[in-house]
Amino acid sequence: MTMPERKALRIVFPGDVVGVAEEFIAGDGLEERDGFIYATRPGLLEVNMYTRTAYVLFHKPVKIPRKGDRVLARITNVERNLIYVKVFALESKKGVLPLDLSGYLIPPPGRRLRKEDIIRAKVVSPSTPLILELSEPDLGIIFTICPNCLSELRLSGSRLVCRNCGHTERRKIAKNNWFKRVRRS
Amino acid sequence: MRRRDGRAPDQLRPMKFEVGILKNADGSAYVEMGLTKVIAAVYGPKEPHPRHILMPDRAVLRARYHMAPFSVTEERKSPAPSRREIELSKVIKEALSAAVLLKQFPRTVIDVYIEVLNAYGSTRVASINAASLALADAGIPMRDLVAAVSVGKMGGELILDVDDYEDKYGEADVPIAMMPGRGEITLLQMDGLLTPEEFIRALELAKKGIMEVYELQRKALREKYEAIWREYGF
Amino acid sequence: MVSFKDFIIPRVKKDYIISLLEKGRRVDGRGFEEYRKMEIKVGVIDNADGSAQVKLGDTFVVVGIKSSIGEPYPDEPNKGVFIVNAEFPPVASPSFEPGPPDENAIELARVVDRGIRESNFIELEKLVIVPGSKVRLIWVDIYVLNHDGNLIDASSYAAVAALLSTKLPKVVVGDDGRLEKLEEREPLPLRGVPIHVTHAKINGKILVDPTLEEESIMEARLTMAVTEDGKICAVQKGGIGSFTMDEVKAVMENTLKLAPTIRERILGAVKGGQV
Repeated sequence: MTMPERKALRIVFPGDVVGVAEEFIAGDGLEERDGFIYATRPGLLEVNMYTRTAYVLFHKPVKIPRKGDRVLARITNVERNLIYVKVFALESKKGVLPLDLSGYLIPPPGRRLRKEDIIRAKVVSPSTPLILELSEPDLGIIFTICPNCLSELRLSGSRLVCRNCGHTERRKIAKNNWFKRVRRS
Repeated sequence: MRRRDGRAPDQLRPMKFEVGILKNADGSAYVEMGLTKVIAAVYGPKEPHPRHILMPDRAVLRARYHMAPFSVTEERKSPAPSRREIELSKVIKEALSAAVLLKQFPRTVIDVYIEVLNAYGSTRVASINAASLALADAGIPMRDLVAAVSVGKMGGELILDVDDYEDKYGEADVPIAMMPGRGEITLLQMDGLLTPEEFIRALELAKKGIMEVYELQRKALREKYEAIWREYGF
Repeated sequence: MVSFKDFIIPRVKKDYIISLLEKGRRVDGRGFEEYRKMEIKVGVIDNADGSAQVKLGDTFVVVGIKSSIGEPYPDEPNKGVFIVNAEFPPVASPSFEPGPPDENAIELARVVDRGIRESNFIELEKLVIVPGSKVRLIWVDIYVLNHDGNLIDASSYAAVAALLSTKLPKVVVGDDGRLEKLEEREPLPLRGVPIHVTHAKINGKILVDPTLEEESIMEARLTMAVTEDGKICAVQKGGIGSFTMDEVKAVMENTLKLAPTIRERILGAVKGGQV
């Protein structure tokens, strides 16, 4: 019989002593002090039997993203080497969680970005201001407007087109985006 | 000695603690200590507005203690914050900040909003009890919960959990907050007159009351979290 | 800061709400003319002269009544005074900031005030103690604890329930002309119960009792208050969109249809709370 990897122990509260430092490594929601491990938030205490790491599962996401999380952001300013963004949501398995944080985007090589583009980005550095990047296929622009006439752009194949002024462009568009498709007649 | 409401000198009023009652807040709690009724909500950690208050190495905790216009025994209170409310906001903020692991969220703020709905004595300690639960409910990492009570003196005798009447006609009032698991005091104020020996006894009486409050706080969290984890099949 | 509409309701959500409405459905499963589940409780604030809390879905409002004695308005020397004030304390929503009431809180207070005042719900003439100089002041304080839409209706039901549960200390004028407050209490003189009903218009569809999500994408909102004998006593259109004549008629008819049931609910809660 194999041992389960994760073992749920019990419900703990801030300040509870959950063990001694020799037993486990203190993970999320735990703090080691003077050789003891204390809980720092209420939740379910679990141990990963392979890594010997203990942590407290919390029932809702805390509203600071972690490294690797997908966030939605609006570009607020573009300078030569720096793109300023306002992060307004965190995408998680439990849905879209509203956020309000500033951050910077590492400019993707050869890709133009504009003020007011709405992007899905990956968190590289989670303490604020967040640092974000766009390198993977699910990342990129999810919505934007026409730079000429400010109308809504639509997706036609891999190009964005403006039905108002005829402007077209190619951008790094995220896989799961908010663009309406142009129907070919 | 029996008190005006029939309590023994070292007896708390009937208490009610509820966690997670406001949907919009990241964490919330409702506390009744006798007729004193308080609601607390936590928003954050989030980016501060205005930005200049942020700290490069940790979160800033802000607290606002506010009384509803209809909460007072006297005539309607103006909703504009009084000097008393501003001072209490400050000491409550400091009492809670001692317990929160602020370094985990640098350059953010955590807002704690407290509304006194019905004031009948010991509103600041009820506020701390509610705010501490709301912080835990928001998942903000803490060294320990913060639990608080007040000790007074009436008819020459020390009394636990001062109500409105005892506050008005008593000889002293000592509000105290602690991280009970660690024995650290995070709020301590006093007005009135006590001998040094009475003051020490007041601290001891407060400690006893705080341990009872701490158990009620943990019970309220346990009730909520056991229900949640039962849903997840634990 | 990104506006509320832009960041709380991502565009996808808006499209989702509208696509459901096109199929005649709402996100929470209600029909267009259906109200949310409502819970009313009176006597929740011990220090107030009257109080009530209303939970309308996740919207949560507390109203407390405080009375005092003061001077009448110079143009109405033989009437008591009542004042409605609304606070949006920051506990209720991430978009509420500490500070004095903003335009939304002031509009809310004034719309609730108008429905109550114009229906003559409170018999202000009976609140005079010394004609021309001493009358009762009735403060109605609306306190929003959680905002999930339709604050006007939730606040007005809480205000009405709180007023119905109010007991004021009796006041007598002594031989020396001085006023004396007695321990004995008496109810407020009230007649008829005004009911506010709010509809929102989203993508051309009219729906009653909007949630915050629905409000954040609505074109416009229409509140009507009706008296117990079926007259209209206050109206407020809000939002930057518009209504057609037919839409206004439809809103009026649905308001008149819903009001008696809501009135019964409030009266039942007040009665239940006072046994």
